Amino acid sequence: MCVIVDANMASAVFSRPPADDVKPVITWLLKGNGVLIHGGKLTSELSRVSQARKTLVELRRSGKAIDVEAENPSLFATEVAWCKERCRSNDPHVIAIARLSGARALVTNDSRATEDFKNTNLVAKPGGKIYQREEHAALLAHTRGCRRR
Amino acid sequence: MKTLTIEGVRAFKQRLTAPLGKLTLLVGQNSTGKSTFLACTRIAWDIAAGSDGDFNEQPFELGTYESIAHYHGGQGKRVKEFTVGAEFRLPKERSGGSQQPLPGMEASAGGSFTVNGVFQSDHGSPILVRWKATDARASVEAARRNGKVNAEWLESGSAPRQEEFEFPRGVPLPFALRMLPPRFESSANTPERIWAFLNLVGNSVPRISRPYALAPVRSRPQRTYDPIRDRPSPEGEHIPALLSRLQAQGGRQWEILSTSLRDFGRESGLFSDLSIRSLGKEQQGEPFQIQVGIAGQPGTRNLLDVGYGVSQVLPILVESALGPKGRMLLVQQPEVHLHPQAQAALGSFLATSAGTGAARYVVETHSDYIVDRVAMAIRDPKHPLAPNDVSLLFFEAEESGVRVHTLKFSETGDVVDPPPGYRRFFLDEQARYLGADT
Repeated sequence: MCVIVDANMASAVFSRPPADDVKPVITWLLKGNGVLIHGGKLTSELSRVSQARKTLVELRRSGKAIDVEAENPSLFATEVAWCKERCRSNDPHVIAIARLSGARALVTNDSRATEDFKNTNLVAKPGGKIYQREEHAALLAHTRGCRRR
Repeated sequence: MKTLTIEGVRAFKQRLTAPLGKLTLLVGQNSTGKSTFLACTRIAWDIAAGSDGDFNEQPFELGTYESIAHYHGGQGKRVKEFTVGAEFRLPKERSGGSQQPLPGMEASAGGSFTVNGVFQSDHGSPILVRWKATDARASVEAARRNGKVNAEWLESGSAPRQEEFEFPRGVPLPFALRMLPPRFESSANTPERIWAFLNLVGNSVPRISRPYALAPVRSRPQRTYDPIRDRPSPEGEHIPALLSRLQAQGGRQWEILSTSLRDFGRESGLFSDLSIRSLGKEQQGEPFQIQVGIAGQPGTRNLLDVGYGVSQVLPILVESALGPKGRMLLVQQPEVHLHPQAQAALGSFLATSAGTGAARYVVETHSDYIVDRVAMAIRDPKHPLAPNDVSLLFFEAEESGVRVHTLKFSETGDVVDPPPGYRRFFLDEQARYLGADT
């Protein structure tokens, strides 16, 4: 029941109104049982988008956002370092968040991040899925890998 | 007090046993029983301490039996009795500062005991009809029956025993029970363990200071104060006279208090300084005014000429600083009249005060800023407040009454696995604001 929203999609997901393609994501987070997973550099990037920052605060107050880095900073740092060695994208922190949290749905439009997230040497059991369009809404209901909820 | 138990009181149909932390936050919509919970916290202490419990002592006014007992619709659908009680930790300190344990402590088991009172209607007033104290090894129960007190005691491994005694009608039930041991003495089958246990209850509860309740709206500020008005009240009417006396006396207590007030004033943005100006020649016993300095503005102003926030928050700060160490304060809406910056500062103040053990709090609040600062304090590894010190109770209205969810904070200051209804309004409002609600 967890999703990661990449920084490149923050202004689409957390905009007013949200872009049609990603509206199911924000609706699922705010009105459904979705949980947003974030941490490290991704938290800083999301926080640069004003509306994303406000929504992140509300989700966190409501127990619907989890900061993976805050849970175990040293483990997160180690994981990011491991991912950095192996990722093609410049988003090793996103892959580290998925590996540590069990979240297997990523909202992104970055092709290299997509490649890394689908690489079963990096994200496995189950493999990562990419959300880009409204047709991918089923992913939001079937992300079973997350250890939360 | 470790837990509070309520059953059959107002919206609480089912038995509720809720943990009380160093800092207990009560959150939820209006009319879900948060103030009732606060009132019952003090009543539970009173019952354990030996009184019959007063449901209409200020600032709480729960009314008659009719308005207190749970009503579940229709004629005759009001509960016939209701329960208020609490679990108490045995005080750590030894009696009189010596190494002697509290009387009865050597016989205790488990480090805590529970006292519950059951109330029925007596011509419309709630009257305590049963009183029961229990620990891991024994229980003692007193019941009012046909003008007599029936006492029953049970030790683990033994059959229950009972005796009946006559007591005047007006004698509070717990008091009557505590008077029983001398009578037991002549009884061959009276176990010493039961005397010890009753002694323990009677001696422990008064050592835990009585919870002090603050009113939801504290007293209005005045331009000039009367120095003799220093009798404690839930509205904090005594606070100005207390401040005046402490400033006149000087000394360590005033130094600590004034520093604490100034620190809070600056962090909250409410004031940069606070002092008392006597209007007479003497420093004490004369009418006086409270003068407040505002950051960035020259001179000082009368308390009446600044916002209501200062006068509303002062009783909370002063009672926290000057009360007996570890006393429980029951606080309703501490955020009243405070700007979010001041609400946040108050959240930090409560977290620090609770974390250091200066006071314990049960706080009914609608302020996100207060709860956020508590969460931030928990997240800070250097802060004295730990996740287990905080009890977050979410009051949720249901068709059959109110359900209270006990929520925990993680070490990162996040609420762990809240129920779907937790902050539902806020999430829906955010979705509506973003246009993501359809």
